[in-house]
Amino acid sequence: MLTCKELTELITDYLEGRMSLGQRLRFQLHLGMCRRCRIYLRQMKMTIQTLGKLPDEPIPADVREELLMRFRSMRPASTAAFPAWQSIVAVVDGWLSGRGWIIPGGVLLAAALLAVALGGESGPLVQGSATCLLTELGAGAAPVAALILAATVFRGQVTASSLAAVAALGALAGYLSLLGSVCPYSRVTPHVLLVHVGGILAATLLGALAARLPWLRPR
Amino acid sequence: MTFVSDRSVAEEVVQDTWLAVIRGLPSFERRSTLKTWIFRILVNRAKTRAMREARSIPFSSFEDPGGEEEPAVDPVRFLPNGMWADPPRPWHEDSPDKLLMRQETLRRLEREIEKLPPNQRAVLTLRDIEGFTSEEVCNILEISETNQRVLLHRARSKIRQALEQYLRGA
Ligand SMILES: [Zn+2]
Ligand SMILES: [Zn+2]
Repeated sequence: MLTCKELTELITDYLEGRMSLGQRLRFQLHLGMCRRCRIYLRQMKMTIQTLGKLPDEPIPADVREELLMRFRSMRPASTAAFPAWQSIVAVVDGWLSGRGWIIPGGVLLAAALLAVALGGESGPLVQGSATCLLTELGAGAAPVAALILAATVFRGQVTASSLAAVAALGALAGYLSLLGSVCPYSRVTPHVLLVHVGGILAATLLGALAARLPWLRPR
Repeated sequence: MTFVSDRSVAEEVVQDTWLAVIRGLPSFERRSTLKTWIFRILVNRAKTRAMREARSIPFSSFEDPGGEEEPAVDPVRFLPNGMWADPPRPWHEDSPDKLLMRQETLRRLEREIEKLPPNQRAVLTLRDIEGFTSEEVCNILEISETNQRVLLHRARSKIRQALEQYLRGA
């Protein structure tokens, strides 16, 4: 027969489920017959539950501030090795986050209108151009979407220039891998210039504009 | 956490840990949960720090739960045959929320946790306060399952006893 004293020493093994069947039966047999040990067990369970409900200790304000400061100062670490690149990125970001996108946007729009005005078989807007343009934009949009998704999930920050860069690379890759062989007008210079080069530029611009999505704004 | 005596040292350790976490995040492997991984870094930083500072506890003793007897309940409360002489009496507060309603109880509990030896305090904090599994705690503190259980047992028994004394008005 288990004594009360022994029970108080075995209680953690019992609660942790670390007992053989025989030990467990002996333990429960004692509990069934001993009200005092049932009270002891109840107190132990209550102690554990109470520990689990202790309020979280708040992070001291000064520690929090220091951490935030250090965290912010670490962020550009990846570009820190290239100061020149960093300043270019900063300029581009500043430009794109302001009204700078209006200029390339206007140029693209003007080019598109010019193409429509020229029209015809010899012009850049030969049949099938829509497919070419959509493929360019789609190839640019895919990595942008992936980057936005990643930033949303991991609560990271994306800059306009990084979105623009992946959009440009995506559109370029789309051109080289697919259209280089698929596009029937790869020798029609106005088509290549307007639909493909223009498409890459448009994708880049749209990528940069995606940084303005409300949930991507720095908090 | 629990290995360094000084509060400002503890805060430095926490900061160090966050920096290590932020830097190490790209190399984080999903073998453990993020929380376990962060605590493991925290514990390692605290250990390093504690070993560097002379005021630390010897960490060689961390794995060893301590040879000397630490009965769960004061032996004088039992009869020679091992049955209760001074048995526990039911607590009036019958839920953790009711227990914690009084600020004094909360302060008492915190003080009792602070009084635990560092290794017991670490296990109790991780298991019962932070809610890690025993496996995770063994992983974080790099101790065996048996030692984890012995440390947990001693810590929980002491906290129960302290609560009992306090609720009895002793
Ligand atoms: Zn009993
Ligand atoms: Zn084409």
